[in-house]
Amino acid sequence: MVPRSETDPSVEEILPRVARREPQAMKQCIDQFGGLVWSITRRYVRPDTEAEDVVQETFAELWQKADRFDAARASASTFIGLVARRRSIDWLRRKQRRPELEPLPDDFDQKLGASTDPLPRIDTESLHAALQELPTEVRELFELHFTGGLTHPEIAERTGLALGTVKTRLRRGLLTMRALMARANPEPVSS
Amino acid sequence: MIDPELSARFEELDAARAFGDLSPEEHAEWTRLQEEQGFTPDVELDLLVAGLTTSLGNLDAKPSDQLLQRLEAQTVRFMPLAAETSKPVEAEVIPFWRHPALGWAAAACFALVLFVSSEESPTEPSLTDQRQALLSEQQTVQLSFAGTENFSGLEGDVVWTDDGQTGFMRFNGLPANDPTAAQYQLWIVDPERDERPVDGGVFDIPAGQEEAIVPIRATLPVNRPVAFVITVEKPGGVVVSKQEIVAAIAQRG
Repeated sequence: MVPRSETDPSVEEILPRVARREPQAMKQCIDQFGGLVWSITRRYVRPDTEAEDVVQETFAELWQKADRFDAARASASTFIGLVARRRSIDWLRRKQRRPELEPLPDDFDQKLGASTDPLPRIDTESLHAALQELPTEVRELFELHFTGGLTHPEIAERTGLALGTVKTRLRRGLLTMRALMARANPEPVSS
Repeated sequence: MIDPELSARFEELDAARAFGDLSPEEHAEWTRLQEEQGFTPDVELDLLVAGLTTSLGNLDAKPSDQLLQRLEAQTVRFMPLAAETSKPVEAEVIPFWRHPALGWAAAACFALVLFVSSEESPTEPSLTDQRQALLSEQQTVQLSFAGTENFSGLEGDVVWTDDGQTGFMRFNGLPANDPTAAQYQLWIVDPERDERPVDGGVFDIPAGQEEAIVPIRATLPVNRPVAFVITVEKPGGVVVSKQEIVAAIAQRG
């Protein structure tokens, strides 16, 4: 099922409005996506007091980078999810004192348009279409990870698979999915 | 000539990076393959993982009312501060981009704190009076700003209270900026809180002013700042500063 927000032009228009610094746009962004950002952040960041700080950082970054959102590349929720994950993983990296563990280029969003093999617009519809083509055992791992929010060790414990197997299947599944979506891209998005 | 085996290995490591589960050893290998083979990270994978997270996840947790209030309070703080200024004088707007890059003297990493709007109601004391009142409090610290090479004419200070999480910066001789070209940004260095300095938000210095007072009211808690650093950034500020232009630093002794 495609979330209502992805089919609602007024929702998809929120980030461009934030970029134009329209009054009330940021408040509407928080109202619409606050739950999404909070949910993603809680998957990585505990306790809640720390998670609240990361949510604030995420919305501050959205304020600064709203102009990078390209509706032709992804839905607003995907873009916001990208920023929320990035801030959360960055928090984890700092907390674990592993300085170079998760480097994402600061200009990551600028590089999205530079791919030689670009993907079609990433939204629920295109993702579900590609998911159907994945082998069942990989799709099940995806569901445990993305739907259930389980970490890789938790998936290994739940399924009885070796941790290395879980990691390898998820990684290769992601690459397969990327290839499937690139193949399905009728018109490469110009950057 | 691209080695297909190495290319496949890099892709797998890059997928791990997008998942956020690279081990330190794998990260070293991922870095080495970039350097030696010229492979580049595929940022589309990050977008794909984000799309899967938002599309498949049960992401219906509700933020607390308290958090929503904090976020809404933050929105009014995104706008650049208009400093309270006095004694108009002839002043030239300094083109910051002509200044050479300057070193970063203070600590390690970054997080986010934003200024509160300086809009005042008619009944509210002036920033000058508020600063003076804060100075009279026992636990308030006062640190002098030192301008860096190209800002050597700058004088000023910061007054700050850890308990109140508030403070003021005062500047004399900080060049006016053209907000469409560059803005000042404050970074609060607090190693006890985080290895990254807290982003204190952006502010402007209008042309034709002698003294400017800029309020600081951090929305994220700062435990014990050891330094306040002013950088010059692109309009709107940055999330992570490259510290190319540092205007001034105030440090605890």
